[in-house]
Amino acid sequence: MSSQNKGKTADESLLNRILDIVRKEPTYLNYWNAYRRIKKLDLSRLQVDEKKKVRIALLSSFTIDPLAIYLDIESRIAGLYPEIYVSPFNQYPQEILNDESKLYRFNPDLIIIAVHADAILEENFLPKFPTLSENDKKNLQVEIIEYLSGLLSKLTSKTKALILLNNFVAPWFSPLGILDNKVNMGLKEFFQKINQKLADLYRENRQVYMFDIDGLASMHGKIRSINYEMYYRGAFFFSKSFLPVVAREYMGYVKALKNLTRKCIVLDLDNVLWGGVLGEEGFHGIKLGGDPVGRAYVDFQRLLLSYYNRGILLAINSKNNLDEAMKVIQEHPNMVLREKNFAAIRINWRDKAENMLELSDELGIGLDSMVFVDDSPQERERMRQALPEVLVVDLPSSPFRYCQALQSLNDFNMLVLSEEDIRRGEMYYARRKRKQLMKTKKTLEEFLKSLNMTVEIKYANRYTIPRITSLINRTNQFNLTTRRYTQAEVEEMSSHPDKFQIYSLRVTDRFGDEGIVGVAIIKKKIEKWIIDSFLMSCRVIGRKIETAFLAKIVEDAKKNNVLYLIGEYIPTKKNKPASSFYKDHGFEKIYEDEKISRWRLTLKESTIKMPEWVKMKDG
Amino acid sequence: MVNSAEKKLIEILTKVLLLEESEISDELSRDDVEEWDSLAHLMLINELEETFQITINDDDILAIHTIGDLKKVLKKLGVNI
Repeated sequence: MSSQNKGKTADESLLNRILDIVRKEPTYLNYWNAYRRIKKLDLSRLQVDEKKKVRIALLSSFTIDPLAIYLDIESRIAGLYPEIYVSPFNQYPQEILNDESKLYRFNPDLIIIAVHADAILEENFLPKFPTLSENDKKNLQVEIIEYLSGLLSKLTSKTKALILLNNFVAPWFSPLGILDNKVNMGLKEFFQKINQKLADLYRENRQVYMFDIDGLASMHGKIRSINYEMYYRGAFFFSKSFLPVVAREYMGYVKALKNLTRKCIVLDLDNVLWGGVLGEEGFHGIKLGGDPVGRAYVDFQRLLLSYYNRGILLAINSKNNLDEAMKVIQEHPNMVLREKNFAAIRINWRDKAENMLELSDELGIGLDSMVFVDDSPQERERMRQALPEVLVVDLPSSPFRYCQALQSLNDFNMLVLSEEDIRRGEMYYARRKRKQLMKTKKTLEEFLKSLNMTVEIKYANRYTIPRITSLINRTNQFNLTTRRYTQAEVEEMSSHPDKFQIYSLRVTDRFGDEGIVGVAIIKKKIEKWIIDSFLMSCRVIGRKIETAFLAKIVEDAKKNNVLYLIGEYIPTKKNKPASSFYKDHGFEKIYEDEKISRWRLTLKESTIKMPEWVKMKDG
Repeated sequence: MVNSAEKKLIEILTKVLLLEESEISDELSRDDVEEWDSLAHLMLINELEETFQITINDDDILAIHTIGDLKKVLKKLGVNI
C-alpha cells in the first residue's frame, strides 16, 4: 500500500470513528462535536465518487447553523460527502437577487429556504391583525406569495438545484381566541391559506418543493419546537428536540435527490405480520384482528398495503413451514396482505441473509434498496453483519409501536412518481405467476393462449408521451434503430400527423396490466411508410406481441393506400435480439452496409397475420 | 474524585470546545480557545442550562470569559461542582 493510500484509509477510519459516537448516542452535543471535528480534518485525500457528493445551501431569516450541523452529519451517516453553505444571517434576498452572490458561486445541488413570517411581515402585524379587514388580509397574502414566488423564479432561472421552500408555521395562538375561525379569516387560517396557495402554485413544478414545516411542528408540538431562550439570545428557531425531526425530513429529500431510495420491504411473518409463532399456535391461534394486539398487526398490514399501493415492493423472508404460512396468507379472514401483494416469497428454514441475496437477485433490486423488518434482535444483528447495505429496522418490542417505527423512515422517497412506479408491485406478482403458468404448459403457443392477452395500440397523446419518451431512451435490447428522442422532439413529431405517426402499445393479460411497453414511430412518405423506430420493453419479449404490433401498422398502412412498408435495423452492441425481426416477418432486404440494413414489405402482395392469441383493442 | 456534576461539566466543555480533559483549567479563556466562538458560547450555555436545570442570567452570559468565570456562575446557581 502506498503511503498516500495509507493516509486515505486513515482519514476514512477517523471519519468513521467520529461518526460512530453519533450513531451510538445521537445527542445534539455529539452532533456538534462530530461536526466541528470533521470540519478540522483535511479530507482532500479522500477520492470521492461524484455521485456521493452533495452540495447543500441554507438560506434563512434566522440562525440556521444548528441545522447545517445535523444535515452534514446525517448525510455522512447516509454515506454521502456533503458540503454545506450557510448564507449570512438574514441575507437570503440579496443572495438570491445578486447574480454574483456566494450562493451561486457555491453551485448547490439543493437549496433550503427557511424564512420565518416575522422576517416578511411588518413588525406590528400581530397587534394590528384583529383590526384588519378581510380585504387587507387577502392583499397581504398576495403580497407575501408574490414576494416569495418572485425570489423563486429568480432562483430557478439561475440554478438547476432542487429547491425546498419552508411553508409557514401556523401559530397555535390567536388574539381572537375561540373566535379565530368565526371571523373572516382568523390568524391561523391566514397562514394555512398561504401554505395551501403556495402548495398549489408549485404542485406541477419539478424543481421547487414545498417543505411542510408546519406539519412537522404540529407533529412535534409547536410549543416544543422553539426554545425561547435561544430564540431571543441568538435568533435560533428550532429547539434542540425539534432539530433532529426537521433534519430527518430534509434528509428524505437529500436521499431522493441522491437516489438512495429504498424500494422493497422484506418482512418476517411470525410477530411481524401476525402475533405469535404459527408453528406453535396454529392457524387459529395466531393473533390477527380481534383483540388489541391482533388489531395492531392488522393496522401494520394496512400501513404496508398503503406502501404497496404507492409502488413499494413487499417480500417475505421467514423461517416457517411454507404450506402452513401460505395457508394463512391465502385463507386467514383477517389477513390484509395477500399473496398477490408480495413480489417474491422466501419461506423456508435457511439463513435469512442467503434468502435476502436470492430475493435481491430475483427482483433485480440491489441490497441497498432493501429494508428488513424482523422482530428477532438476533436475526436483525445477523442481517446487519452479513449484509450491511440492507436497512434493518429497529422494530420496537411492542406491536403497538410497529407502525410508528416504519412511518419514521425517510428512505422511500422519490422526487417523481410515474404510473408505472406506482403499479410496480402488481407487475412483479404477475411476472411470478406467468413463470409458474409457463411451467405447467407443454408448448409456448399453449402458454400464450392461456394468458388471455389484450393489446391496446394508440396514437401518442400528452398523457402517454412522458412514458413513450422514457421507453425511447431506455430500451436497448429489442430496439430496431435505437434512435433517441427528447420529449420535446416526440411532442413535435406527434403534432404533425401528416408526417409522423407515433404508436404506443399497452399489454394486459390475466395477471395484470403491464402498462405501455412498446413504441413505434412511422415516417409517412408518398406511397411508403418508413418505420423510424420500433421498440419493446424486454419484459414482454417472447410473447409475440411484437408481431401483433407490426400487424397493426401494416393494417393502418393498407387503409391509407400505402404501397410499401420500410423497416430499418441499426445494429448496436445490445440489440442482437431484434436483428432478424423484419426477416422473420417476410420483409425482403433491399439494402445493407455495416451501419444499417433496410427491409421492404410490399403491401399489395403480403400481409402480417395478427397472432390468434392476441386480442386487439383499438385506442 | 470528581462528582457527577463535574463529570457532566467536563463532558460538555470537551465536546463543545474540542478540548482534551487535561487542557481544562480555570484560567483557560475565550481568547485561548479557537473553537470558543459566539455560537459555541451559546451552545455551552444552552447545554449547561438543560443539563443542570438552571437559567443563566444574560448579563452573566456576556461576562463569562474563562472556565473559572463559568464555574463561579454555576456555583452561584447551586450546581454542585
